[in-house]
Amino acid sequence: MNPTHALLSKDNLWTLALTAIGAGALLIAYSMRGFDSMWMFPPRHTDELFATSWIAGLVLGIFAGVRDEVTGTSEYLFHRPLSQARIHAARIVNCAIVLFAWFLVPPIAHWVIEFLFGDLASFGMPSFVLDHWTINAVMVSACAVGLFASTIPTRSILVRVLAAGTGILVMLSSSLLLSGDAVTATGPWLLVHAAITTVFLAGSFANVGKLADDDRPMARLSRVAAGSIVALTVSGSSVLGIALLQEEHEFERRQAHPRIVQTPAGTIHLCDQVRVPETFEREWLEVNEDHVRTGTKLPHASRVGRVWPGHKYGDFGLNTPRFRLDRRRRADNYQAAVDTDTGLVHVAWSAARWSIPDRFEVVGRSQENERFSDDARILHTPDAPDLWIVDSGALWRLRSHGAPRFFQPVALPDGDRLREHQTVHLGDRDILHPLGFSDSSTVALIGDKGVYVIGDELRAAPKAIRSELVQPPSLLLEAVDPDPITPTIAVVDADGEERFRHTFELQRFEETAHGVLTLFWSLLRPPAVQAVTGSFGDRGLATGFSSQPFLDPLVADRRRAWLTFCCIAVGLLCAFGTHRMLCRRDVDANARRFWIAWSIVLGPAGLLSAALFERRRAHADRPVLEIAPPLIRSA
Amino acid sequence: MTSAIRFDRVHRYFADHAVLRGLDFTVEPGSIFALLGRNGAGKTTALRILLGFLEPHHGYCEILGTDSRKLSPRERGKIAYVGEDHRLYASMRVREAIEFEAGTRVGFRRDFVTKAIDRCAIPLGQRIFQLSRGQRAQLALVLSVGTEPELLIFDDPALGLDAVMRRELLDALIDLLAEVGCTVLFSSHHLHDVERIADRVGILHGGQLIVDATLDDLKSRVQRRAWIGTGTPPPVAGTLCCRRRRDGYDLTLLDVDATTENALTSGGAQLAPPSTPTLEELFLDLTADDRSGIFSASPSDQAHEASA
Repeated sequence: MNPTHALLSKDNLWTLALTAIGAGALLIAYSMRGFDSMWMFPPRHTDELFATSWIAGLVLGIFAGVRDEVTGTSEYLFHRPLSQARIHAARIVNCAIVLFAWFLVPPIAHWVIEFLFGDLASFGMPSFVLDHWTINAVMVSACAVGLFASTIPTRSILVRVLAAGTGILVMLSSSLLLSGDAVTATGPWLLVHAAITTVFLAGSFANVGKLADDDRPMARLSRVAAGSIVALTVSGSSVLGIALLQEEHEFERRQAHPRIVQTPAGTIHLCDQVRVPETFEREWLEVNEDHVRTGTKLPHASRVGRVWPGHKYGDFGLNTPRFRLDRRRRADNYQAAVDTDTGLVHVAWSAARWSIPDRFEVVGRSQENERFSDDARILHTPDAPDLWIVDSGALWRLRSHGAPRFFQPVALPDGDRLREHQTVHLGDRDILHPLGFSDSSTVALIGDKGVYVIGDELRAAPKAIRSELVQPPSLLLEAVDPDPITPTIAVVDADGEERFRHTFELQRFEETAHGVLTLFWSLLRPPAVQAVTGSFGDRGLATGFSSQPFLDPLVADRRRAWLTFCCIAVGLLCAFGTHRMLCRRDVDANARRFWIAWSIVLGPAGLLSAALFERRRAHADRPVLEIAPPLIRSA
Repeated sequence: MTSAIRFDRVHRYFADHAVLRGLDFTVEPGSIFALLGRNGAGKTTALRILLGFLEPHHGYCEILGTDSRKLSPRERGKIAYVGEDHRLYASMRVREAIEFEAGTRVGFRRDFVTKAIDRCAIPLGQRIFQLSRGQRAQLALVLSVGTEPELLIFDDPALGLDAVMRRELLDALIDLLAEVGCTVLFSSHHLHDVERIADRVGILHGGQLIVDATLDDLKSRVQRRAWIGTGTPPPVAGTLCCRRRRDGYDLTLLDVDATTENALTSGGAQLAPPSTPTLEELFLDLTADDRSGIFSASPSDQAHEASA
C-alpha cells in the first residue's frame, strides 16, 4: 500500500458516508423539480439543485479540513515521514472522489428511476445532464472554499467563518451568472469556478502543516492567503450592505421629490401630492424649479392625464438588464415554456405520477423543426386546451388532441400580422359569459388590421374587449442624466420633441438628508474599486445601486471626482489607523505592511479585517526570564 | 557526540502565563530520560515543542541534531511519538491501523508489530474504538516502534490506566526497548514505573527544570534526615526540603558532608540516621506545596493568614 492509498484508506468510512448523504441530498434536490423533468428541461433555474450543490460542496470541504482537528488526530497524522503537502493532497483526492460520485450517482439514479417507474419516451435530451454538471461545478469551488477556510491555522472561529463566508459571495455572484445569458456560454461559468477552485486550493496548501497557535503570529504565507480572503469577504459583505442602504436612501429621496404630471390640458408640471387635511382625499400642489410650492392646485388626480410617480429609471428603459432572466418564455397564463434553443415546448404535465406538481412535458415542436425566435410567446386560455404561439407576427397553434403534436401555422384574416398581445381584465362584467371564459381576463391579439381573441378558435374581438385595450402612451419619460442623486428627466412626445425637462437637485430637507446619507455611505466603499469605477465605469452603471452593487453609480461615468478622492483619503486614513492599531498590538513590520496595503485598497473593510485578524495575544512581547540552574544536576 | 535531544533555554507562554521558563537540558543517545512534573508543569508543552507542533517564544529545540521547527519527513521517520491520549483512527480495525502505518512509514516491520500485538492479546479484527484504554495504549506503543525509530517520545503513555494495565504496558515497553534499543524521552506521573525503566530524570516545576540527574546519582546524593531539636533547623547549603513533623523536622538534603552535619547538630539538636528517599518522596519534597491541594485553604485565606 503506497502512502496516498494508505491516507485515502483511513478515510474510507467518512468518504462513503458523505458520498451517500450528499448523493441523497442531490437526489432530493433533483426530485423537487420532478424526476422526469431532469431529462427534458434545461436546468437553468433549478435553484434547489444549485443551493444543494453549493452547500454539499462547502460541507465536504469543511469536513475534510477539520476532521483531524476535531477528532484530535492531527498530531498523530502529521508526525510521520510524509510531507504535509502530500497529506493535504490525499485529503483533496478524497474530496475529489466524493465529488466525482456526486456528479455521477444522482443522474444515474434518476435515469434508473425514470426507466423503472417513468416514461422513457420523454428521455429525449440526455445532453441536459451536461447542464446539470455545469450547475454542479459550484460544489467543486465551494469544496475548495470550505477546505481553505477550515485549514486556516487559527483558533478564531470568526476568521474561519469569514473565510467560509467568501463562499456566500461566490454563490451570490455565481447565481447572477447562472440566471443570465452569460451562462449560455458555459465556458466562462466553468472558467470562473475553475479559477475560484484553483485560488482556494492554492491557499489551502499555504495552510498545511501549521497548527493553530493563539500565542504566535500566523505564518506569513497563511496570513497572506487567509488575510486576503478575509479582507475581501469583509469588504464584499460590507459593500453589499452599503448598496442596500444606498438603495433605500435613493428610494426615500425619490419619494421626497416632486412628481411630474400632465394635466388634461396637456401641460406638464412639477407637483407634490398631499393629503387634504381631515379627509382621505389627495390633491396636487404645483412646485417650482426649486421645489417650493407655488400655491397653485392642479386638477384632481383622477383628472390628471398621466402621472409619473418617482423616477425608477429601470422603468424608462435606461437600466438595460445585464442578464436576460431566462432563455425560456413563459406562457402568459399557463404553465408552459418554449426553449428557444431547441424549439421544444414544455407544458405542465398532468399525469399523476410521483405526486410532485411542477413537472413539464415536451408537447410539440414547430413544423419542419423550425425554431421559434427568442421573442416567441406562448398563449393559452383556461377553457380551451389548445396552445398558441405568437412569433414574429405569425400565429401557431398546437391542438391538444390529435397527431402529429406539432405547432401548425394559423392563417390570420386578410393576411394580417400581429403587432402585440395584451391580457385584458374584464372585471365583473357580463361579457364574460358570452365569451365562455370562467376567468375574468382573456388574451387579445392586436394585429395591423384587427383585434382577435383566442378560444376554441381564433375570432375577432368584441367591442367590449377592444375598448379595454391599453393605448400606447403619447408622452415618454427620458432620463437625460440618470444620476442616482440629482437626475435630469425629460418628457418627450411621440415626435421626439422635448416638452419638459427638470433636474432634481437636492432642494428640500428630506431630499438633502437622503442624498447626503447616500453620499456618506459611498465614502465607506473600497477606494480602489471607487477609483476604477470612476475611471472606467460607464453610464449604464449610474442608473442604480441594485444592478451592480459592487460598483458605485455615484462615481461611475466620471462623475463626482471629489467623492472618489474623498474615498481615497478615507482609505489613507484607514491605513494610518491600521498602522497605529497594529503598532499598539506589537505586530511585526511585514504584517503591518500587508494590512496597510489592504486598508489602502479596501478602506474601512481593510482596517476592520486587520482588527479581526491580528490579535494582541499573538504578537505580545514575551520577556526572556532569568534561568535558575537545577537544584540537582548530574554530570 | 551530538545529543539526541537538546532544549536550549526554551520559553513558552500561553497568553501571559509562562509555562516554560528557560527549559534547558539534553538527552544523550541511548538513554531513557523521564520528564516528571505536576499537572500543568509544562511536560506536554515541552514535548509538543520538541516535535514541532508548537513554537517556543524564546530559545530553541534540537532533535537528532535538527531544529525541531524544521523537521523534515525523513527525520520524522526516525522519531516515534505516542501522545497522552493514544490517538489513533478510532473507526479503523487493528489490522487496518497496521496497514495504515505500513503504508505511511518507511521500513515498517509488519511481522514484528503483528507478533507484538498478538502478545498483547489484541484481536486484529477489532475496531479501535472497541478496544479498552489499556489495549489502545499498547497498540499505540507497538505501532510507534514498528519502524525501528532512533528516538521514542511518549507523553505519559500510562495515563488513565489501572495498575494492572499499567504494568502490562510497562512490560510491553520494556520488552520493546530491549528489542529496539533506542533513545527514549517520556513523561509520566507514575514514579515507580519511572524508577524501573529510566536512566535519568528531569523534574519540571514552575516552568523550570529543578532536577536533571541520573537515578543513581539521586540515590547516592540525596538523603532524608530527621532533625530533632528546639526551634527550627539552621539554614544549611543543600537543604532541598524542610518539613515540620511532631517533634522536629524532616530534612531532605543534597550532598551531605561532615560540615553540614555539624551545622545541623550545633546547639544540641540531633540528626536521625540517613535514609534514601524514593523518587516519589523526592518528587513530593521538591514540588509539593504544603498548602496546595483541593482541600487546602483558598489563596485569599492564605493571604489573610499571611497578613495576620
